[in-house]
Amino acid sequence: MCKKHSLLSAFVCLLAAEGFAQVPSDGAVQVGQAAVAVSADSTDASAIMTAVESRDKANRVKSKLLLKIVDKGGRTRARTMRSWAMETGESERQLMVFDSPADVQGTSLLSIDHDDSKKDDDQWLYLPSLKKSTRISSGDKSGSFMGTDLTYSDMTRSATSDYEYKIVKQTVSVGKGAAAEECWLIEARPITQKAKDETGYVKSRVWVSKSKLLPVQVKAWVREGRKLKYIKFDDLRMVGGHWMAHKISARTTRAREVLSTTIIQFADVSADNADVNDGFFDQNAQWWTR
Amino acid sequence: MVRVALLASILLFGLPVLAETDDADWGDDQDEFGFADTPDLDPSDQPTLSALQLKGFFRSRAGFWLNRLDDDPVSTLRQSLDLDGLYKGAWWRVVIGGHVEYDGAYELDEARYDDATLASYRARYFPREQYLSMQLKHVDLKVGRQTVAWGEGDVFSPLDIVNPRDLREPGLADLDDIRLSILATQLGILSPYGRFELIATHEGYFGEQPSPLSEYSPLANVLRANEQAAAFLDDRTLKYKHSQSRYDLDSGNILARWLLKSEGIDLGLYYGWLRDRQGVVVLPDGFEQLDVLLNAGLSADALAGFPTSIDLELDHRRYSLTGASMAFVTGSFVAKSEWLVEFGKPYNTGRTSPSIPTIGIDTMTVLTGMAGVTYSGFGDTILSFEAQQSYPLSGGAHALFPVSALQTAARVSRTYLRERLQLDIAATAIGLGAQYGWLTRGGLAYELVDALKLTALYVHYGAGTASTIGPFDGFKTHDQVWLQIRWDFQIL
Repeated sequence: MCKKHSLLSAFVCLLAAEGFAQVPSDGAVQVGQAAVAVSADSTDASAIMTAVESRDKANRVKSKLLLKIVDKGGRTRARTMRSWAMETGESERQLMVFDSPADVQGTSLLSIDHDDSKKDDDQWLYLPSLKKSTRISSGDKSGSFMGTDLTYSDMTRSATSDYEYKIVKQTVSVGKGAAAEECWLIEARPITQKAKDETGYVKSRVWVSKSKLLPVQVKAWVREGRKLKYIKFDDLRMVGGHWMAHKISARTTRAREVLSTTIIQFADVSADNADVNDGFFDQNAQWWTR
Repeated sequence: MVRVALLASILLFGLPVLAETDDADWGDDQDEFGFADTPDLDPSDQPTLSALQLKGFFRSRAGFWLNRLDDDPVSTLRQSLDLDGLYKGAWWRVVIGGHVEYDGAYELDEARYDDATLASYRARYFPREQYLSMQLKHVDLKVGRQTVAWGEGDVFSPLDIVNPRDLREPGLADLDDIRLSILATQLGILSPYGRFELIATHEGYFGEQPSPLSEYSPLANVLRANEQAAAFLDDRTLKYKHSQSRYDLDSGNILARWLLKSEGIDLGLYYGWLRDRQGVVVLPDGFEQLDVLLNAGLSADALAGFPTSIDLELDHRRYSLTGASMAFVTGSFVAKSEWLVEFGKPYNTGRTSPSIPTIGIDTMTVLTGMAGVTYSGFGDTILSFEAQQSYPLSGGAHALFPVSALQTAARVSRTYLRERLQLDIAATAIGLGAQYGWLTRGGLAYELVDALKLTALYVHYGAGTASTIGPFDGFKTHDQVWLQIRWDFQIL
């Protein structure tokens, strides 16, 4: 399960259209995707967010990612990569290999995110120019994730006690036509200095689908520069019996001006792949040759 | 001064965060604007990686000596092309890569350079990785030219002993260039207890040094310090010659490493039975008489009888080493360390004055430690520091080059504009007070479009004050600025 921060959580959680700072990790409620522990009438924001976290999620996932960043001047940058992810029961493991552009091709990142929050996560980065995989820190959360509008903290899961939740609207509709989702609109405000520092947010609002127990939109008030960040999950499809967003859009704005936009599109997503196993993620193997 | 410090802090760490937490009237009415649809990306844009891949990069670089702008401004006009081909089978792969370069700066005033310098810098081809590798479950085998990076250090890595280095331009080489591939066979065995590697190198290739009379040679300064020696060398070429023939079976090394990357810590153990990469200088017979002859004030005609090409022999004698490495993470810190003992390591003894070095050869047993730390807790900024110190356990007296000088390196790296712009500032010092020399460099790299990068680099050398020869000896007018454009491309 996506219990913690880290890059590893990033794509597992992004695939599941979740993983944002205000989603709690320490809820005790165990619910399945079909066995929702909260009703659509629930007015307990904390219980709702806990249920979101506790959903079953796809495992042994393979995917391809297309990532496009558009800056204020309209200039674009594109990245493509492959990703493999697995939940072992004690940790989440993920391998990402960049395929393009040519200057980053072959750059690979192996992450092991331990469920035990007392342990530092393990990450190794392979840079083709160095011909070497080196251990790196996953400690800082405030930096941009690969130059996108998302930060590592966007993919962080923090303790419920770090936030104060409230329901802003009991029912709000997101999307149009058949794709419309009936949602709770929940506001999360960090109440500990740690959460404030890690996220850089004054507060955020999460639109949670009542039928899928997935966040479908997130809006964050960014303290630095009084910016707003909008994150939207689209193209929800079932993969391995679980709902997953296949498109994520993140937009940073200030005073109604778009500063930058990131679009992440997933392709060839599959779950329960037998070859995505422990051996695949062995950090002592030459995993960067995958 | 305060303004300068403030400006520097803004440049490095960005504008200070204003403690604005009041969210009233701030963005409550912009949701439709913010959540507006974005265009779908076409998954077919995703390049399909085929079994056969061909990629490379082109670099064009112009450099200028800052202290010689009036008479000799151009330090480099290097154009280089790297190409790499890869074919992947189910359990095997073939890699073929190569690098060509041409430096037009050596055409501008060709007469200034001796033949060895022109041969070393003007036009070169270096094979890159060219190997066949096979993987069968937990065993892999790689045969051919390969690059293998050992050790944990980023700047100082005394356990990185597999590949020779390109040291022609100290402190200036790109990461892609610094390790030179070597003909070798590598056997790797993966077990629950880590990865074991056994490597046999099959050639006596000891890397690329600055030719003795080139701009980047500390020896050139020593040799030219005496007017008569300088006059003697003026129309002669001086070049290194290796005692070991390149493809002699006895020229290779046997190297082994066990590496365990486990939860929280990486550990490595190393062994090497190898030839000294740097080599010890063996003076030609009668070389010691040259000092006497030069100081005797022989006429130009008399000196003309000496050969026009002089070889400085480098003997790469065999020694052995054993060592260990470690890396671990705590919070935003990564700590790295390497320790090794080299047994019977050869070194030059001698003096460098008055005009011709007096050189001998001895061996020592030396303990070397390296420790480093990297901190990445400042968002887009990374700070790193490394230090290395050697302690001769036996021998090491009267060393021609500093043996036990403390070496330190510090680096600040920060990205801006969502990683489109990168600032790097680095400094390296040799000796506790940098008495054996230092180097500082600042670079700014900007990604114009994907895979096309423009880099500006400033380098300052400090020659040091010690009487012992340091790596930057004589680098008094070597400060440079570079501009480089790099284009990475993928053909297949």
